[in-house]
Amino acid sequence: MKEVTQEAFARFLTWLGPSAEAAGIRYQDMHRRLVKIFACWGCACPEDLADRTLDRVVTKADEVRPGYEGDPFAYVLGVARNVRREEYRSQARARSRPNPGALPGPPEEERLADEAKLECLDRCLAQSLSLEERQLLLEYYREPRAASARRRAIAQDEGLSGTTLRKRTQRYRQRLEQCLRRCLGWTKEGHGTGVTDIPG
Amino acid sequence: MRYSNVFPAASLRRYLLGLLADEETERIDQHLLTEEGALEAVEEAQDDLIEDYLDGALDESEHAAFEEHFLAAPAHRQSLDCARMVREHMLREAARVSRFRPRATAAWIGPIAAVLLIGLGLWLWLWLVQSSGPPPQIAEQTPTTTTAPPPPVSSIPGPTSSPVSRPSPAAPVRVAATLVVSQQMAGGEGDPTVVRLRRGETAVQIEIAFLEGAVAYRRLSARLLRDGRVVHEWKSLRPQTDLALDLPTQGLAPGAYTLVLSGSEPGGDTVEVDRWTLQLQTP
Repeated sequence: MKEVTQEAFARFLTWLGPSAEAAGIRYQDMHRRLVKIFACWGCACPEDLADRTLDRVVTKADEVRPGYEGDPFAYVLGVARNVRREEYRSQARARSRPNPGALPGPPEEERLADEAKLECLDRCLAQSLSLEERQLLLEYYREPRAASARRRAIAQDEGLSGTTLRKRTQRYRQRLEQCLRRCLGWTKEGHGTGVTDIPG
Repeated sequence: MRYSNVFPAASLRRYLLGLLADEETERIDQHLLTEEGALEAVEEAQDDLIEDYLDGALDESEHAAFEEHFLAAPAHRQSLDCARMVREHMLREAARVSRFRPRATAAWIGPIAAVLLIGLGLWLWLWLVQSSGPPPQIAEQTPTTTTAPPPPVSSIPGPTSSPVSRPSPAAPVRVAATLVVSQQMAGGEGDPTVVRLRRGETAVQIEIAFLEGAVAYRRLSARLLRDGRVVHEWKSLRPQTDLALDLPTQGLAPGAYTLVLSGSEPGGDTVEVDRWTLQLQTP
């Protein structure tokens, strides 16, 4: 594949929007969405594949654009599908080779990782949720076996519909997940960079 | 526009599990890449999916697809990890709180205590009136009260009420016993619960209070047994914290009865939730 040059990238941005800023935002949004699509396709490295897709689109843009009408999204999606096919083929080849087997991490490392998770969880619970919100989550999860009936009863007690209660707890979980990802150095794309210090 | 109007949650869930037909998958791919709100809708469906997985609510094919397809993406595994961490923490916390929470905080204790206090106050007031003034008219005017049973504490008339307490056909059925379903203690343990029937009563209510976290069933049913024979049955009861069973008392002989509470679990199995021995006493 051809190398992505600054010039090619700048030309591609003009296809995405009238100003460099708007086009840049659109590019980032497209990348984020592609990562999600690759993840939903069951790919193990969605971010790498999204990068590969956009690099290919940028390098081909000059050839494709003259005869192309409308937004480039359909083209981007077509390229993404090709990238996925290639990835499947290369995974199939890798599977056919003898596999030395995944080595488990050292126990000490795992223990430290667990401790870091618990520490982050404590911090995030305190920072991301109010006391009332934590209590609602506590009630929501109190009895896993009783999930549906118990949650109906909680919704009734709180004067909420079942859907509102579900959405509310979903928001709380999403806030916690964002905080945990930040704290643990996990990116939304699934990469880990180690524990990050968030203000205590 | 609400995204759920474009793709129902069930389709998004199947999309995440890789179980959707190609044509439909391509439509969602396209929306996901271009449409406002699509990403959020998929993430919402993903959250529900993870919760259902952790609740053990996925069917066999969904469960397999979840582990093979959905969890192939590291970001999805991390989301599951986060959800699991939060859930485990909350369960630990709930167990800790339950250990130290006195049982008297159950929702039904408050109203019962209030009724008892009001009753005590009224009794004190009546006693003071009787001991300080002439004999109350109630005894002179209503000789039938000598044979009639005493009214329930909560229905003793106040000074402005009629001196005679007559059962009203519209009056709510009296709660004759309150039973508790608790994970720590089976109802069958301990002494039998005495249910005193009153003259003229055609029905009483047996209240079943679930202590926190005990309502785990889709539907409940109850049977009252005497010597192994069903004398009354309550079917398809909606699970709730306080369950009220109306028991018609006509034809019930005094003696020991067994009340069995059963529940149908989400999987479809019916299990016995609890059982109690009731000692019925007639006037």
